[in-house]
Amino acid sequence: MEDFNLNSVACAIEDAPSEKLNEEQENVIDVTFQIENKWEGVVVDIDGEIVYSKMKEVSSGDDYEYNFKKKDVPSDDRPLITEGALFNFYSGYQVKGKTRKNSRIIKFRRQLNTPKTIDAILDKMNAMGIADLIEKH
Amino acid sequence: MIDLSLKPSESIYEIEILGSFIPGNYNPMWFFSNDLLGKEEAENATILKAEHEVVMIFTTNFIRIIVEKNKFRIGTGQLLSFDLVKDMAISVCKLIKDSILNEFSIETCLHITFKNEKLFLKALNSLGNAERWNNLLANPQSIEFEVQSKIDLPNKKLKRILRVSPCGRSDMKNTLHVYVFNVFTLKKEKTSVWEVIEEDTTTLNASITLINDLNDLHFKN
Repeated sequence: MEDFNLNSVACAIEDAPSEKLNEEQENVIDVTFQIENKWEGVVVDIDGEIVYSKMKEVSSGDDYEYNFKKKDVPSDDRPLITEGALFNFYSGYQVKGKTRKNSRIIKFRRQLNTPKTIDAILDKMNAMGIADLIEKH
Repeated sequence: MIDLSLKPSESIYEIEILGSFIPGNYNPMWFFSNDLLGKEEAENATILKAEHEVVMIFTTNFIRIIVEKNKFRIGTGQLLSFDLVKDMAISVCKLIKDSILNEFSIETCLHITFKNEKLFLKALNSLGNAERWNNLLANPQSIEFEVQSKIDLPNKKLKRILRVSPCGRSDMKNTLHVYVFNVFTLKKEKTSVWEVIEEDTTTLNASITLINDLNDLHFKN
């Protein structure tokens, strides 16, 4: 990776450390859902079908409490709904043909857990002021 | 993540891991079987190219995966989804730690479209300081620009590369690629790639700051 090709390349994201693939496949990632705003959330409690969370709006840094139903989460992500789980809440729109449809998506984050991952989640919970909500034994 | 001061027509955030891979092994179902994608997400992934020994390219609603013999690339078309890319990269590095090298890069790549050709060419000339060539050439025009910096950090070296070049796509008139590549080389074998990616909270913001400064200095009139 030390030796960079300094020749001009028409249009390819990998033109630093790599050889080129097909440009059409390389320099565009089709976006089916256009994100306009994002909140980062953490699940603080679950009561049956209701999920209680705290969220932070990325652009403003404002905090919100937000409750949603498990069925609002894509079925793939429902097994990930546990206390302390991190998720992103996106608002935006989907483009189908020439029409735009406003949309919201809750996307749970997936990561293989390690002690450091768990520390990071706890740090996030602390930063959001959730520590006080956790029962101490 | 700090805000961009300009609105790109397209953007990509990507983490590229180097190593030795058999691309065909990394189809969407491999990601599902390792809990990195949901079942529906994996089944609905769009496979753009699959040649077992050569390349695997597929996309989901949020990420794109490209695996070649020596590269494993995880990207998104929206900067706001950078954390999903990080999560995926960290998990992939943990799963295939024996196949990866101690080098990787974090890349922010934008397409910046100008209102007209005059502004587009002016921006390139500003970057390349083309006026310096007035005595040697008539109407000098800069074509592309690249600058690198090397930073020695604890446990790792960082090479940051800023590259600006015209986009050749027919659907992208008066458009520049603005790429920031952050190439990390780990010094100690004990430090793992996934730990560095996990602990990194500055690279994306540093890249955006660089692009914002570039915009202020060279793209605004």
